[in-house]
Amino acid sequence: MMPLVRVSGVSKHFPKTRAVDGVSFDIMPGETVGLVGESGSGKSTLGRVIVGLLPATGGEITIDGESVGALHGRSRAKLWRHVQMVFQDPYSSLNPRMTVRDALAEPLRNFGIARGPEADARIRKTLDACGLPTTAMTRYPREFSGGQRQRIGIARALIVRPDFIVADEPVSALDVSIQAQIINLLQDLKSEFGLTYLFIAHDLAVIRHVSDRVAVMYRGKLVETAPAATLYDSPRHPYTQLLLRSVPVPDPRAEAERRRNTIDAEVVNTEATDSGCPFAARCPKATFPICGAAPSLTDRGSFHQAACHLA
Amino acid sequence: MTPMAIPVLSIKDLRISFPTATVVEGVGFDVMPGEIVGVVGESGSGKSMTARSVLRLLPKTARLQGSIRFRGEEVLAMSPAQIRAMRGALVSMVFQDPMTSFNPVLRIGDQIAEAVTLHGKTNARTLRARVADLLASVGIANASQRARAYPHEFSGGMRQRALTAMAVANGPALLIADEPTTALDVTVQDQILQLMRTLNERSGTAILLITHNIAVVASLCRRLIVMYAGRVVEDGPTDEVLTAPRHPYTWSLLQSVPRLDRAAGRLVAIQGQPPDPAAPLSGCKFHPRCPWAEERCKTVEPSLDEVGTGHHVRCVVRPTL
Repeated sequence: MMPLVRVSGVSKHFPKTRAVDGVSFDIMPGETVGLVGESGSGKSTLGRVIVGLLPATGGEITIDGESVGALHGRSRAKLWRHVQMVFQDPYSSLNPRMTVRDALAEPLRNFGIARGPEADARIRKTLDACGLPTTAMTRYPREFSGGQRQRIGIARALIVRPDFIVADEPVSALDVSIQAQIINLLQDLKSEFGLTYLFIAHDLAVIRHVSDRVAVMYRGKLVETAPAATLYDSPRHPYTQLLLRSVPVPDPRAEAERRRNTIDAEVVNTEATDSGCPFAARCPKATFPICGAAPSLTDRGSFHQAACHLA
Repeated sequence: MTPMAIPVLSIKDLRISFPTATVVEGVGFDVMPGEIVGVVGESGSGKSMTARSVLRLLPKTARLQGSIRFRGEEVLAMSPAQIRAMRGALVSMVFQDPMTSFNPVLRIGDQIAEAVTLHGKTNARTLRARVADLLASVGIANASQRARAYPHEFSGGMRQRALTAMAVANGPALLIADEPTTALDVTVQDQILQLMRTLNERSGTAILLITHNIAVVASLCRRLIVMYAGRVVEDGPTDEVLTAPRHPYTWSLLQSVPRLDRAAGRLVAIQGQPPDPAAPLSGCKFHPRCPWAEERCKTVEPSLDEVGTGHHVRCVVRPTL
């Protein structure tokens, strides 16, 4: 089977930072890949580069066999119809002066999909799929709660019937009791419309729940990727291990166990350099000069890769 | 009565109202000396309003009724001067965003020094040493040098550490932490929680932790209070509330959160929205979203009843969960 999305050696360098630095991975049709990392890891920048909101400064992105960089004009626009994005804050990603109907009709018109009554019919169907009443059509974003606004944001991505959706922190701005509604909705839509997801989040529990495969980013680089169960049960990279150890769990017994295994001293290795392993400065296992060189992502079992000299 | 039996903080029948809405109603709980108590709730649950009312940090239009006693003294009857004397010295507070809690144009060390001198003058050298000690105590290396840094030169985690150092500068009896780790990365969050645990163990500071993250409470607090729509719906020992919740809201909240330590099937989502405080609801505030709601839940507001030792629940149905 051909991957739906192929990210090969993609970089996004800004004048002072390498936000994304030589990242490669594939997303198979129908798969949900979870992209996890802390603030500044470059996960959101990578998501924006993949959907074409930011140009890459290096590498190549192929969607459905077509290289994104090689396409221009109409063929490029045609490709973006198949790729959509859901944002963290639906309030700032929706135009406050547009009714829900206008916000949803716009992409239909732009891509020449439908107009007038035909567009309305499709809007009603999409709103219904996203759990919103048709009466929502004549209302404005401010009239909705956070959870409902995120449903509108999802409806707007879904209305052009994309194959691939990049969801960037889609639940992190929502109340805990609403998060589950949106996660369930995204999972239902996936099976109903045969979608493929890149799900970007900092919440490791949410990522485990939604993902088939997980990719961990640290300072612009992919440090580990594996099927979700493998990554959470036997992480190989010291950074992934640190991340997983840091998450508290709402179970007193498991929490006591976790705390026994936590090392509270923060490691600082002064020998670490920018050209070496990105995690070397904080890594409890780092040895030099070995970790002074940049490790590449190598196989650690079936579909499991880690970028570490020591793991 | 022994001195130990007097709670550091005792809130009784607290009601906070604004001209347009009542945001907290009938809230009551105690925090004993050296205890860490967690308050969990979503936005609009009234958890932050309750926390801020202790230091009288509410907007001017807020009307407070009921009783808030700090070491037996009524906070609601205190003069502005008495409140100021209490803030920072006896009770202090750390907030979610350490960037906005510091003045960006003043050095971190000078701001901590200000907090120290507000409640007792001392000479410059002792003061510098005290500031360095405080920063070192929250795990900041090269403390005397780092004291000269400006807030923007610190990472988010370091700022939250420095803010915590400032908050405990005068050895308060109670530290109120309002979502102290929400803006932080998970590895940094773990360090801050560890720091709070250490402060509590070392100096016996009681901590009132306000959070939306039920797992954070599990990590730190022996007692847990769950708030919904301005009311306490369940409180009790953390272990008991998390493993055997008795209120449908607490149970649903635990079911709706994905867990790191196990792969779950479909999440059990809580349907609907939290109620709008401006549109008061009769009966139990959770009834429109509760799968166990009965006819009586729509009309009768349940009372907070004891269901076990120190375990209270505001529910008339009390289904087997």
